[in-house]
Parts: sequence; C-alpha cells; structure tokens
Amino acid sequence: MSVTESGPPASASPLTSASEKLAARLVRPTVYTRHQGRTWLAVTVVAALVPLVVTSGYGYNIAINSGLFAILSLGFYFQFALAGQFSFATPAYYAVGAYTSAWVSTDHGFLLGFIAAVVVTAALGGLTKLLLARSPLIHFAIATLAFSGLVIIVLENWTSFTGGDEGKFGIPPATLFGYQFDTQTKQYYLIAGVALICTALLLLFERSPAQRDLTFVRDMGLVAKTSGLRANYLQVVAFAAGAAYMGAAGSLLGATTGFVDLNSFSSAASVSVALLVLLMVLLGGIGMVWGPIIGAIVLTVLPQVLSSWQNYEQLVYAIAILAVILVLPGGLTSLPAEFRARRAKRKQRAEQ
Amino acid sequence: MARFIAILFSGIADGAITGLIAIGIVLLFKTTGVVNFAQGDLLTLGAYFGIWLLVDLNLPTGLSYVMAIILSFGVGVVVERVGYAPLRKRPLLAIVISTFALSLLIEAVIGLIFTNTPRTLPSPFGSGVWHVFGAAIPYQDVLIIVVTIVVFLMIQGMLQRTTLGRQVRAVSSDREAALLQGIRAGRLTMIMFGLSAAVAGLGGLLIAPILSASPTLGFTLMLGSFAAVVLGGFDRVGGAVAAAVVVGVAQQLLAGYVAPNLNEAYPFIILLVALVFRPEGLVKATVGVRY
Repeated sequence: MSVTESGPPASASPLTSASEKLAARLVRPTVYTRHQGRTWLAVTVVAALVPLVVTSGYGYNIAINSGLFAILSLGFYFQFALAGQFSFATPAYYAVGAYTSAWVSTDHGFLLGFIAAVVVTAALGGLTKLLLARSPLIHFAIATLAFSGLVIIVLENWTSFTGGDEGKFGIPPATLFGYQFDTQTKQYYLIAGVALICTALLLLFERSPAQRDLTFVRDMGLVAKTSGLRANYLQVVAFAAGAAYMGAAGSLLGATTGFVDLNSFSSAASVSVALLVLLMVLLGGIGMVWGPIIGAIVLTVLPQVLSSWQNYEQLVYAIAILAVILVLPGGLTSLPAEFRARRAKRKQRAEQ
Repeated sequence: MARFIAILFSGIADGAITGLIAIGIVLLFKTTGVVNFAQGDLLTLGAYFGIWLLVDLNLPTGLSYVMAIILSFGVGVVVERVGYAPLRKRPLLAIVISTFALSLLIEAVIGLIFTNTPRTLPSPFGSGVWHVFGAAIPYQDVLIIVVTIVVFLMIQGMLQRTTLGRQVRAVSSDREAALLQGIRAGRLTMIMFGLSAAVAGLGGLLIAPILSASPTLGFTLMLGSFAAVVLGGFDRVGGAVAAAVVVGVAQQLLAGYVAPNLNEAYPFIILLVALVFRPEGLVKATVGVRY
C-alpha cells in the first residue's frame, strides 16, 4: 500500500479489513467532497428549531439526554474510530468529569468547573494511554476495563467526595458570563451548542493533516513510526481529546440535573454506559462524524417510544451490536453509500 | 495460623476457578489469536445449566454435571459459529466486539429466564468441612482444587500427547502451514471453542455452591482471569493457571489482612500494574499473528 496518498477516505474504519479499505481507496477521497460545513450549518438550524416541536418537559429531557450522549459518543468516536483504540473506560471519564465539575463549580462557577472537568479528564485520558502506550489492542481493551472498574470502586468508597449512595446535591445551574441557563429550553440550547461545537472541532480535525497521520498510525503503526511520525504522541493526544469530550458531557450532566450520583455512570459492573455508547457509535456508523450523533439520538429516542422494551433492553442491545457488526459494519450512515454501490453493481450486471 | 490456612485455601480455590476460565482463554488464543470476552459468561451459563438440571429438573448429580458440561460445549460451538466464524477475516476489533456482544447476550438471556435473584447449587458434599491445623476447609474447596488440577493435567496432556493437541500447536505456530498439511483449522477452532466453553461451564458448576449464581457472576470472575492470563502469558496454559492461583491467593490475603472493602479492586490493580510495566504481559505470547 502506498504511503504518500492523501490518506484513506473517511469510510475506512477499524472494523473493515484491509482489502475493503483498498477497494474504497480507489474512489476519490471523500473528506474534501462532502461539504461538511454546509451539513453542519443545516444541523445547527435543525437543532435550533427543535424547541418548536418539543414542548413538554419530558420531551426536553429526551432532547437533553440525546445531546449528552451525542457528546459522549463523539468522544468515543475520537478514541475508537480515529485513534483505533477500543476502550471500556467511557464511564470512568464521564464520572470523573461530572464530579470534578460539581466540586469546582460550587465554589468558582460553572465555566471554571467545565474547564476543570475537561482538563482533568483529558489529563487522565492521556495518562491512561501514555502508561499503556505499548500494550497491544486487546491488552489495552482489557486494561481499560480494569481501569474503569477501579475508578468506579474508588469513587464508591470515597464517599466524602461523591456523596455516597445519595449522590452529590446542590450543583449550581450553568451560568455563562452572568447569563443563567435555568429553564429546560435554555439548558437544551446549552447542550446542543456544546455538542455542535464538539462536532465542528471534530470536522476541522478530520480535514487537517493530523487526521491523516492518525489514520496512518492506526492502520499501520510500525510503518508510520519508521516514516518519522510520532505515533505514540498522536495517539495519546487523540485519546485524551476523546476523554475530554466525555468529561465535558459529565460536567453538563451535573449542570443540568443539579446533582450527580454513581448510578448515572455504573450499573452491572460499569458496563452499561460503555456499552450504550459503543452501540450508539456502531449503529450510527464509524465512517463519519454524523454517525455517533445519529446513533445517540436514535438510541435515546427509541427506548422512550418503545417503552415495552424495558425488560429486554440488554437483550436487544446485545443482538443489535451483533447485527451491526455482522451485517452493517458501516452503521446507518453507510446505508446511502451501500445502496449506491448495490445499484451500480446491478446496473453493471444488467449491461453485461 | 488457622485463619491464615483458611484464607490460603479459599484463595487457592478462587484462583483455581479463575484458572479454569484462563485455560479457556489461553486455548482460544492459541488457536485463533483472539480473546473471547464471553468466556466468563460461559461459566455463568454452566452454573445455571447445573441449577436447571439438578434443582429444577431433579436429575441425579453426576448426570446433571455431565449434561451441563455437554450443553456448555454446545453453546461454545454456537458462539464460534455466530461470533467468530463469519468475522474471521475481519480485523481483530470486530471479533472482540462480537464476543463482547455475545457475553451480554448470554447474560441477558440468563436474566430473562432465571431472573436476577441469586440462586445456589447444592454442593455434592453438603456443607461438610475438612479440619486442617484448626482451619475448617469446605470439601467443595478441596473438590475445586482437585478438579482443576485434573483438568489442567488433561488439557496439558491433550496439547502435548494427542493428535488434536499437535494440531492445535501447529495452528498456533503457523495457521497457513498447518492448513497446507491438511489440518482442518476451521473444525479445530470449533472444537476448541466448545472445549473452552466446557471447561468454563465446569468452573461454573464448581463455583455455584460457594458463590451464589447471578447473571453477572462470570463477568466479574473473568476480570481476575484476565489478570492471570496477562501475568502468566496468553499462550501458556501452565503459566496462566499458576498466575491465577497467585492472583487468587494475593486477593484473599490482601482482603483478609489489609483492606477487605476493596476486595474487587485487587485484580484490577494487579492487572494494571502488570500491563504498565510489561505491556504485552509478563511473558510475551509467541502467537501474535492471526491469519
């Protein structure tokens, strides 16, 4: 495989094999022809118009939750799809971000709390990746599973910090430069705004040379190293950035609900949040930034609509992950491309 | 002294159970190069098969144990067909995620059929204990240790002395060359998935009388066996079992003498420290390549 090409198209992902990637490479690189900026503007307009449709408090809860999970999924997308690192540690960063922000913002206001959450989780994420930098993929996944479990156990036992079973109360609502986000509509706008900024940052990153380097490191680690790239540095930074997204989501969780407790992050061996975010990213598709967002919205809205799922939630999630992996490795966002490819193939066959 | 002996034995028994899961992980890693995240839940499944056959259907002990192990073998084969075979040519991460999904699936199905209320399997020895230096060791602990030693020797003998074992070693050292020699690697993979599931299921049958069975039983135990496999080597059955016993004893000693409320954290700490200082495990696996 030639190295000097302008990088693989964004549809190449850690879940498709090398031959599939090679086949996709013959098509023009899509990153520059996708007009992501316009899509982003369109999504912003749609997000701004959501309050016209949503009127009830229940509806706002769903919208706010979708936003939070979208940010979490974008963080996971950063770590998983871009850096190629499979991590179970999502709940750990989410929880650390939430508690850091809760403590700092009670004394110093929301903005500092938010920044503190982002900085602390980024440092924690970078540190995890740095310490485990030489571990192969599976070892890293196992290690993050242990790390996540360890963080949750520490938080469970550190009751003066986390408030124990009751959780930590009295987190002030978000305020920015004197403007209070005290109603649900305002909170929705805050979260949607942060989610859109996160998306924009990711889009800019995907256009930058750094993303090509990162993809190169992800797909051909040693080759990238021998050609002079700072492989470890790139991966540590990308992993830390993903963790920072998760920390931001944790901070926003506290600022909107007013309290945080450990149940928001862990149940059943701290798998649930990690699993949900994984499924969101897989279902939406790891091929492009919009995948995790679509996945987050679909998986927050669907369980509310189909409330009879409740008992079968885990079963449905497990089957959904399997189905996506087996049948549609590109996720929902790859459907248009799949249809196009299939139609082209049919046309070709008809011509023969 | 009596307390120390008691803690030591329960540590060895715990280690033996995680060792049984570790044997399965190592067998699969040798033949396929992937780690099966569903291994722990296959142990849970074995425990519930035992409860279903022995308690719910009231079959005799020996028969229900044998049937539970056979059923576990079958489930292992199904896991291979669903979660591994279709993805064999896809990247490692796809397989890791699919085995993870299968683990959740097994957990969810158990939860739906048996509910989340913990169940117990009666021990074949009742609540009998064996007195050593004033310590009371449950016969079940002794049974666990003896059975694990027997299983370990059988697996080791199988790998070193039988045609099947030679084929496993051939595939683990070079899958393509093994295929050229006429070894049916696909079928071998299926058998190994079944075998490792059967070993895990046996572990479930043995541990269920001590820890009561709940849907998340195996997943928690599996984290300990990951620590063991990292310490002992991903391709060494003996190393993994020895490390599992070390981890089990260390965990019980730390919990008994240092801080009991952090009991669950010790395997995590051992695992993380081991991986930070030896990124590929204490002993580097020689089967790093997957074909």
